[in-house]
Parts: sequence; structure tokens; C-alpha cells
Amino acid sequence: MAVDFRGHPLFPPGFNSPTRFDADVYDCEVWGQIPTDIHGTFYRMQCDFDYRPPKNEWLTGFNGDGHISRFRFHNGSVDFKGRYVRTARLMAERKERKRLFGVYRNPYTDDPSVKNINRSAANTHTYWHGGKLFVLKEDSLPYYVDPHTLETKGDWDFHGKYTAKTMSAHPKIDPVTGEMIAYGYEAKGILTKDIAVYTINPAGKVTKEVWLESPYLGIIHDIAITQKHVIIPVIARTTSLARLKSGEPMWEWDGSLPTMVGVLPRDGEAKDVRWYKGPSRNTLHFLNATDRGNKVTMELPTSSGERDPSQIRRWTFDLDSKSDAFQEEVVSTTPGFLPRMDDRYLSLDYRYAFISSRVPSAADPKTPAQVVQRLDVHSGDIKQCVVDGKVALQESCFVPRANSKDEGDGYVMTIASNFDTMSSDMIITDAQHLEDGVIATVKLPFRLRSGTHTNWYPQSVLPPVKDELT
Amino acid sequence: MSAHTRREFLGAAGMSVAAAVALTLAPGAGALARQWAAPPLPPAMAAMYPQGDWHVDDICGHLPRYAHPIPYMHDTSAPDLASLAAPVDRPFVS
Repeated sequence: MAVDFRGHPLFPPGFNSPTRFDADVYDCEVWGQIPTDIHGTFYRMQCDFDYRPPKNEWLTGFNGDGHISRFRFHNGSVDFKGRYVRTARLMAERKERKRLFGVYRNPYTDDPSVKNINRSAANTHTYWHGGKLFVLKEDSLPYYVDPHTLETKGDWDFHGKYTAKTMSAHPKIDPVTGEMIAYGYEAKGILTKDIAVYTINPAGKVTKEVWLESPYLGIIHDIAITQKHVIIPVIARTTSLARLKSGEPMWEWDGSLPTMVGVLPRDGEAKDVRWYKGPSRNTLHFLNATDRGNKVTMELPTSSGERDPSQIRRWTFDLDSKSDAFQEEVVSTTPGFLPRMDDRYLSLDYRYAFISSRVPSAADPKTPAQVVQRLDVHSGDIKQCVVDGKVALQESCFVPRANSKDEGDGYVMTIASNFDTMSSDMIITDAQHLEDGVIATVKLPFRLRSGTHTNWYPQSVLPPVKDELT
Repeated sequence: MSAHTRREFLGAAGMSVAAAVALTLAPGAGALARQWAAPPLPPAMAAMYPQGDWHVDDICGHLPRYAHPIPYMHDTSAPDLASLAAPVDRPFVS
């Protein structure tokens, strides 16, 4: 049967219809001038769909096939490439020319023929580390792809030393040591409460492995690190065997559960983890954490309940306290769902978050304006660039200015869904002068679906570029 | 970051934590609930998040949501395309 997405609740006609193509645009159209000191590659992921998912697919796009975008910058020009990650899952479905995998992270809804095939859709995040560009999905081990051609190379278990069955899409790279702190939850298989935390050296070798047990079976989508600790929040979005066997997608909110946060010394073992407890909080992504004497602070976007507005808050963990409570304060009421930072300051004392956000429009308070913001997490001050037109902004990414070491000195790159043209733009702003507006726009002649996460790597850390004209 | 701003920040953080601890210790004050209370959003901002309309995409920053129909994808009231096209293109857009 041919592919037909019509009538599926996930695919009303519009911007987020499946795109279903690989693409190359050599020397993209650019409005404005790209600073010539931007030399490297911006990567982003989107969930796309090659085949129609089951009708009861959860109304989110997180079960789509991984599709990676590469914007390579050199001397003011940009070359674009977009590729599906050739996962075992995608190739199995292409072979049969139909959807074989069921709803989001529920193998009980799969076609029996794919029982022994890797379920990873490789659709969430990219990280360059140890000479590999990893493409991550938290329910499986990573895939890796060529950083320039985006050719899928296969999945990776770090020479057999990464023994957990899963690796989250949000490992952290320590900017001081170059180590990757990676982790997996449901690490011994689906519905298990096991968490495995790994330290992987800059050469890509596993140097430390710690196994923990989660207080309950909740989502652990992201972590934070400091120079001394790994912070592991467990959020009240839970699942069960009964839920999976009923054919539902994996997660459901349970506000009766607490937020549990594990604080694990990076040089410690499982016995050294300390679990803090607080009211249920709805959150997925974390900004940064910092050691402050006998305390650890962590900034993150979070909501008090499932349906409450998100705010940037600070959680403080007192390592000397006998109480298992952690403290919370509001840093900013900006709804910064996907905050990013100057990753050279990850785990360290820092000041700025970069956020794609929406604020009430001055002309019509009920209509959100799209803004790129720089939030000062010390003072709460915000500087912002308002992006004109019918657009929606995806996750921003900070790009350091060449040869500058100062925090926040550089650019912010953001993909904008442009509904006026039904195509996608990349907008580039000066991170220190957001109020000056967009300095350059890379125009794609087609649309990219709503994306998940972005990363930037300077050419100096990537392999040499081969001439793509030949 | 300068040492000055770092001191300011740590001072402020210390005050905040101290205040929260004081609330927790206050006898019979329902202090824990107050400790977690967040200030309300400005009305205009709250209007963007109507109760009952929450979706998991909201905490992933997707706008529009994956399953959100976009009514303005094609403007059927647009003027005749041929009138907007360059003369050489008009045979192809009529």
C-alpha cells in the first residue's frame, strides 16, 4: 500500500507535515552578511516520518524518524545538507514499504517481525565527541554519522564498554576536561529502574561506570553536571507495564509523585548518591549547574504542575543539610523551554542563557511575538531580538566568536519556521547585541519540520572538509 | 564573571536560601507550601497558556505544535498571481 498521511491527527496540512526527503543546497541564499569568523558546522535534528504511524500515536512528533540537518559555514557562505539517519528501524520499514514500529516507546505495539530490531529512531540530539558525531535517542544506544556527509555509520557501544542498553540524548561535555558524562535510564531494559552513569574520556574511552536505582520509574530526559557532581532529576511522568500492554504511548503525568533529584559525586560510587525530594515539577531540559561551596545550584525551565506556565527557576541542594528537601526560587518568568548557554561555561560559574521564546506582542497581547533572548541568570535581566513575520523559532544555539574566551561573546543561531513562505530560515544574531536585530538570514527553499535540538562545532574540532563539488 | 558580580550573586543566593529555610522552620505556618509558591504570571502571558490546552510539546518549545493546523498556509484570498509575476513568468502562473 502506498504512503498516505491524510486523516491522521498528527498530520494536519501545514508546516509539520512530513518532509520525507534528503536535501543538498550548495551555497545557500543569504540575506545580510554572515560574519566571516563563523567557521564550523551547526547541526540540528528533526523528527520526520517516512511511514504513517498507528492511529493512536501520541499527539507529539517524538516518534518520528531521525533527520539531521547540517549547516556548514565558511567565509560568509553556507552549505546545507539534510539526511535521514539510516537506522535499522527505518531501513526495515523501507524494505517492507510500511510502518512496522508502533507507538512511542511501546514495543508491545510493534509488528512481531521487528522484535529483534533496534527501536531507536535516532531523532533527538547530536554530539561530537571522541571523533564521532553521535545521533541520540534516549531509549537506545547512539548511532553515529559522518560529520560532513551525514552518512550513517551504525550504532555504537564504545567498544563494548558501555554496557547499559540506553544512552540519553543529553550527555554533558565537561569543557575543562573534555570528558563526556553520559547516562542511560531504563538502563537494563524497558520498565527497569536502573540508571547507568558513564565518564568517557576525550578519546572516546569509557573510564568510569556507576549503576544506580531510580526512586521510581519516571522520565530522566536530561541531567546537569558541575565540576564535582552529576545532578539527576527524576520527573513525575511515569509509565507501567499495564499502560504499555494497553497499547498506549509510554509516559503519563502523575502529579502525586515527587520530584526526586540525585546528586552523585563525579568521583563517587553508587553508595555516594544523595536523593533530594520536592513537589512534582514538569520539566525536561536543564540549563546548567554550579558548585557553590557546600551547595549545588541548578537553573532550569519548569512548571509547578503539568499545565502551569514554565519559568526559569533555580534549585539549590545543600550538601550539609540533614533535610532531603531542596530549595527553589524563580529566576525569570520567561517561558524558556529550551534554554541554551555558552557551553564553554557548562558546569562552571556562568551568567547567560540564550532562549527562543515568545512574549505577548505589543500590538496584540494575545498573539505571541517570537524573540531570541539573552537571560542574565544573576539579575534576571533580559535582552532580546524580536523576529518579524509569521514565524516560530526553534531551539537556539550559541556560537562563540573566533578567538574570544569571554562568556557570551559570539552569535546565536536559530531556525525559524516561516509561515509566510512555508519555508525555513536560519537567523543569526549577535549574542551581545540582540537588540540590534538579525544580522543575517540563511534562506532554505523548503521547510524543515519543528526540530528537537541543536549543536555547534567549530571546524577546528571536526575532520577536514572534502571538496563537495567533485 | 567579575569577583564583584560573583559575590553579589552568592550573597543573593544565600539570602534566598536562608529565607526559605526560615519559612520552613516557622512553627505552624504551612511554610513548606509557601516555600514552593511561584509568583503569578502577568495576565497577558497567562493568556498564552490557557488551562486545559497544555500539551507536552509546550515543554519542548514547539510552536506550532506538531499536530497544530496552520490556517494561514495558503491564502486563498491572495490577488491574481499572474499580476504579481514578472512578464516572462506570467504564462506559467496563470
